[in-house]
Amino acid sequence: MIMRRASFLIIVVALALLPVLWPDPYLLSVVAAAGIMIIAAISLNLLLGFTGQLSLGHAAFFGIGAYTSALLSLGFDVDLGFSSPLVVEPKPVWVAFAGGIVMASLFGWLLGKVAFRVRGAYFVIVTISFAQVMRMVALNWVDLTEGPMALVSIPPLSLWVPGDGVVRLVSKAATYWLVLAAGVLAYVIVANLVRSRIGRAAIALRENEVLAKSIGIPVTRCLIVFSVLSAGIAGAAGGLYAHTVRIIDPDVFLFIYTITMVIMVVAGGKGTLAGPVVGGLIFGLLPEVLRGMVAPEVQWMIYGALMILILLFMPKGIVPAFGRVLKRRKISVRRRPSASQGASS
Amino acid sequence: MDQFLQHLVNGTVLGATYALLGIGLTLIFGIMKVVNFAHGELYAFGAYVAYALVSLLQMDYFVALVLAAGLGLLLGAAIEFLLLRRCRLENIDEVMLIMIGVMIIMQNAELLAWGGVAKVVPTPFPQESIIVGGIYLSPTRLFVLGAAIVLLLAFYLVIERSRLGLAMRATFQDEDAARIVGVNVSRIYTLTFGLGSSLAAITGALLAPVFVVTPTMGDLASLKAFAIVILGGLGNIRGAALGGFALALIEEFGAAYISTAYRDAIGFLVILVVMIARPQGLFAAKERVG
Amino acid sequence: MTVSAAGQPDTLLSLSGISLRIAGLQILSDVDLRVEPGRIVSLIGPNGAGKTTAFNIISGYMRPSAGSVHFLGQDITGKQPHEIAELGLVRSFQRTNIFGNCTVFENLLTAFHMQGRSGLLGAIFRLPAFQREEQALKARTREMLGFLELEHRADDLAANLSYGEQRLLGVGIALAAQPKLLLLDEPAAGLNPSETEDFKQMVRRVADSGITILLVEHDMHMVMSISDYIMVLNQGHRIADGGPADIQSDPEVIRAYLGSGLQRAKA
Repeated sequence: MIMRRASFLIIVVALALLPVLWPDPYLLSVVAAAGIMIIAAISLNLLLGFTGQLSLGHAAFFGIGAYTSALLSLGFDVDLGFSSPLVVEPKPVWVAFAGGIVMASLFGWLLGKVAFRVRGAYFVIVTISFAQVMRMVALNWVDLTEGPMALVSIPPLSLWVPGDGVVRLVSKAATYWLVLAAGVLAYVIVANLVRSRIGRAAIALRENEVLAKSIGIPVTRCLIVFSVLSAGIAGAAGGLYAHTVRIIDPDVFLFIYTITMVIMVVAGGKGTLAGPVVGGLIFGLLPEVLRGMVAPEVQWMIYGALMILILLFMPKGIVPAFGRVLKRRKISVRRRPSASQGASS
Repeated sequence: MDQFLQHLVNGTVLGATYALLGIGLTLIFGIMKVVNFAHGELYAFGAYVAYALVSLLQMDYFVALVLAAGLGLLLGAAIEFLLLRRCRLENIDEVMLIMIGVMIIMQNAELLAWGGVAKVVPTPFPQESIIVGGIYLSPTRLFVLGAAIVLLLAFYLVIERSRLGLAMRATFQDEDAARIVGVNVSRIYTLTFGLGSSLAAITGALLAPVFVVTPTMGDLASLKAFAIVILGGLGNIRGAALGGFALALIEEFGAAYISTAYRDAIGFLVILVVMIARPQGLFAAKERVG
Repeated sequence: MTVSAAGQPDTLLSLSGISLRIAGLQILSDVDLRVEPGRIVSLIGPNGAGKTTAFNIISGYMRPSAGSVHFLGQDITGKQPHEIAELGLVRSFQRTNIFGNCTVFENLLTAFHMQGRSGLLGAIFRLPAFQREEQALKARTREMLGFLELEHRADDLAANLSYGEQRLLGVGIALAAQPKLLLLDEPAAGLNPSETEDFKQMVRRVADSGITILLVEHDMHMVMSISDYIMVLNQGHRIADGGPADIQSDPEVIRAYLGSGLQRAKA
């Protein structure tokens, strides 16, 4: 427990020092962009990894968070029909950001209510359909979203710093730290959640739904709670995207973004805490590595091939595979005698 | 009224091809239980085969159709043989993700090979529409309708009446029993996946002269095929055919009388509504409990 | 868990007129059953008699076509399994009885779900109340491990346990849900004679701790030696009920068992 906390802190501090030690703006922006996808992957892992429900509409929550946050910070007016215009003045950016999270969570609740009536392939198809409908709305409700013309000049997030007053987080380093802080927060929330009563309930229903019900776990309610949280974190990632990239178009809803998140989670190891981070770093940075070398189409083909290979030969993902190696070594060094200690650590 | 009939005719033509697409996926998804996101890519593959043979190699369109079906069969069988055989018994999510991998590879391969610009496949039929009672009928579309209906019937007969169809149904109902009575189960799996893929490819080739050919055409096709299968009820061949016509007509009339912009959203709304109201599909008998 | 003497109802569970038809087949016909608190009641009968179906109906996994189930005087017919579990009616399963990819410790800790109250905020912010509750649940888990004599297996994946240990863990999971009435579905199936004997001792200890037990079991030796009351089902009908001695001498029971025994011998 203490060891794990210490290593976690060391990693976070090391990551936080990166802009100081290696102040390459290109590197920082690439890592920050990967970081946003990692947060999205962490949120997907909550559903896919811990409750075992493969949601393939996750980009929708990312997009809803991005659009809501951007629109609230820019202000908008639309005609809702029956000559009842809705005029929203621009809101402070952090309020808009929170609004994005709330809106994504609401949709998470709604989708959970609908989709968890069915399981397996049906669930997957419902989630995909949901994301597609959202994309069509973003494309076609031009009065609200500007459609394919994109929402531009989205204000950045800002922070009050002692001495400097309010600072707009626009520099590469500031963006990096912002994403890192959000990522650590998301990680800690998910880690605390899955190591709790409700987290164990989710894992139980992933492992054996019938048995989970028999010990009093309200399966549907539990799934909806996870759906809401997962959507909320994805919405936060979307909000971060909107206020750091500062331009969004309906492509944020594309299926391929959901797939990117899925690849990150599956490659890293679904149902592990470190999985989406490891998978996210690999698949978030790989495009930059491949960029100069191959055409983007080839890059995607490599993605697809890697995903198939991982599924065929390492279906549990990278983290569990390495975990097994480490564990084997540990056991050969020292067999742990105490049962309770091991389980609670 | 003419307007209405025109939409009805257009919807029916589209419906026949949707039905083909849906039946192909019913074989793979409904019966084999493989959630095949690459189905639409095989449809795009068929369209590109038509483009390559007809536009580039100046081949006869009808020969190209047959070749598209054949190549689709081979490609589908190869996918099953190489990727799915080893994880047939693994969980459904893994298979689903593997098929997504296939989808990504195929789509980008098309993009790489042909570029993002839409391609046109010339039709062997006259361009002028025939006008019957104020309704415009393009000869190409009529051919598509005719060919699709012939294929639908042929396919139905294969599944319901032939020894092969019997072996298929036996395999997917009770694999062990089928093996005991001497069915080569592995071959049935490969063949079923190949046949389903072949149907998708020929649908793509049939529609290539009607629409244009683009690398992303498979995306919507996959999702619509799922919508059709769900409408029809899982594993129900007749249901899938009806589901194809139903979805096409809903889209056609939805686009005409509600909103063109949301034409493609209608299919997904239909999925959502069907899932909420009647998860066993519209055309399936109520599922038996137990 | 303890019911005050005054408030103790004389019937814990009652089925009245339970029938189930599926696709034209009559699985259960008009079955009545009363389980009084503090007893070990067994449900026996040849294969296909409808015993497991009766369990599924009692625990909310299936809905009867007719009739009602009352638990602690409350109508629970058609309630969700988790709602029924919350009332204190918990079952074990024949096959899918553990969380395979979790350790034995995690299996039991999870099973104490209903004994916790902590919510999302407590978990996310690790509030003191949450921490105290976790410690308490872990202490109870260790206690349960001791009761099951599985301490040495605490850190092993449940899937890696022996068959007998898995059955034991399955019962432990049910017990952790703090049942007033525990339904055991063929707990001794597949166990060797010495394991069966151990199991029987454990069932006794559970009963002695004040938990009423309803048992479906094929091992007649076990049933006859621990049951206070036995009901016999055959082809969905109740054909006899009473104490072990009455059941053993009941002509209709003998006929039913002989009949099925003969059929099995022929097959």
